[in-house]
Amino acid sequence: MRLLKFACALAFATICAASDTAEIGIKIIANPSVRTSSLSRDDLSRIFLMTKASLEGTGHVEPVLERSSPASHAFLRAYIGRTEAALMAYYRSLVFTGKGTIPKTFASDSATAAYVARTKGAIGFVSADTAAPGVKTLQIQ
Amino acid sequence: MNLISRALGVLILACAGSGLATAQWNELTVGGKTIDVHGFFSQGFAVSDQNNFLTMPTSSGSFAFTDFGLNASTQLTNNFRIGAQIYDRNIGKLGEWRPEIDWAYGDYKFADWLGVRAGKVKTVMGLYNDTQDLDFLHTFALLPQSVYPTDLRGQNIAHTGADVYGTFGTEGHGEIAYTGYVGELPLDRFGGYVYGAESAGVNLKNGGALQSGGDLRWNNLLPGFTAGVSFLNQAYNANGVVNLEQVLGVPGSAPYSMKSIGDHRTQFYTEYRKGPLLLQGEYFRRTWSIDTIGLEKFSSDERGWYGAGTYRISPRLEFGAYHSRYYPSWKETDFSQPSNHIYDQAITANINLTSFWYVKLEGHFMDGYGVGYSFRGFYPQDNPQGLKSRTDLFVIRTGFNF
Repeated sequence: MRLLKFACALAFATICAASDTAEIGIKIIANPSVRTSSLSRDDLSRIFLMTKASLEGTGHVEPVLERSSPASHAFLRAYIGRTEAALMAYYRSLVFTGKGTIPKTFASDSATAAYVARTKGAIGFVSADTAAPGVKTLQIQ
Repeated sequence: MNLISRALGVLILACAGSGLATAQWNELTVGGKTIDVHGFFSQGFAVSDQNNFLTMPTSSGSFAFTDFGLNASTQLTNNFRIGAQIYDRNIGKLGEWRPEIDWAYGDYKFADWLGVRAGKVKTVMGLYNDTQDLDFLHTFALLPQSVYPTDLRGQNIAHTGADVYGTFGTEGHGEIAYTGYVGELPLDRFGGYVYGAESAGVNLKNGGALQSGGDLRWNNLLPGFTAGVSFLNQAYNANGVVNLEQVLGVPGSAPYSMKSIGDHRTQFYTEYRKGPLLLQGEYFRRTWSIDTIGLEKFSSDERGWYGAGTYRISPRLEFGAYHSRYYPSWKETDFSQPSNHIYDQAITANINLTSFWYVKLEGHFMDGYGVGYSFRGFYPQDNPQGLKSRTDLFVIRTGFNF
């Protein structure tokens, strides 16, 4: 019974902690070739953890990272649940077991947005107030 | 062989050095395809108060604690990937600078729920089996030795065969990931199993195992919470020579062979991650019998578990602790005997000097040393004065990756 209460409290706390992208000051952007206007939180997380490499109607998708920025801290906290160091360790575990590679990584919102705009299937995140021509904004459900 | 290993080490150092100058240097383009080149190197120092540990003369302090690797891989199409990694280590008398192909395989992904890997593939088992030798990924300098004994890395690290794998989304409850495999594993002639057998008068020359198994895990069942189970079935055989003087007290030697029967391992694991906090626990049970030609039949029921917690207080600093317990034979009734258990309490500080260079400072407070077939750090030939029941060990380990 105590375990059940703990699990419920944990789930409630996590739901409360979850916010939509606008509230946490970021937006999820995608190349126009991505044929959806929304993603579930799970699918977004799976794309960035590279266990989901395709979307129905789109085909191959590619996560794009921004490092050590307010946007990346907000994104990782809200959707991935890992620190930047833990996420990089995860990517390195893929690289050093042959299972994957480290996603393209940029240091600024403008560079991230520019890469997403020119790369088929690319999905990234930037600060909510970033001007990002040539990309679409995805709703996260 | 020594020369080749050292040359590889120098190459890795040189690559890392040049990597400081430019961020994308480890991406080569050949025929329009990008080839990623990555490597790692780690060097440790270990000192203990009593018993010598992990085949190193730790009671007087030892730097014989080195490993490194280098890999290259490329994504040929969106669905097809190939790559290979060389690995080498010298830890006391383990590894002996003999480079080996760590993994080398092709990976074709038909869909997120179905992929196939063929070649030499690292074995997925529990949280860390396939990454146990990648020190830079872990908070601890020594993973819990009950479940991931450094000596026995070669026993389960990889198989030459094929894997099927995939993931399924679960609509709001994370994803389920599976892996199934079958393959062969050669005897690790420079590992703890062969080294430990020497103390029993057996010189193993060759052998290996046919392995099959699988792993099923539910990632983010609740946010940050993962649980899983792994299975391994194997048929092990080894051949060599037994020293009759040492075993029976009569002069001479005789051919020796053994095979394992009913060799099964089951491992349960769980992990909870929230921001800088990470909690983990794993439990394994391995039951096996050995049929030795010329000697007696023998069976055992090994068990081990650990609980670990780590907390990153800043991007540069992380602390961790674990409690690990190993029982070589669950049939024993008196676990207070040092030969019937190995308990280990560890505390560590992991300092990231840069994003690719780290230093770990770690203390181990161990109780017990297990039996002759535990192969977990304590060997009679390294401790001719006799094993003591307690061992305090301090480890410094530094390394980098690129």
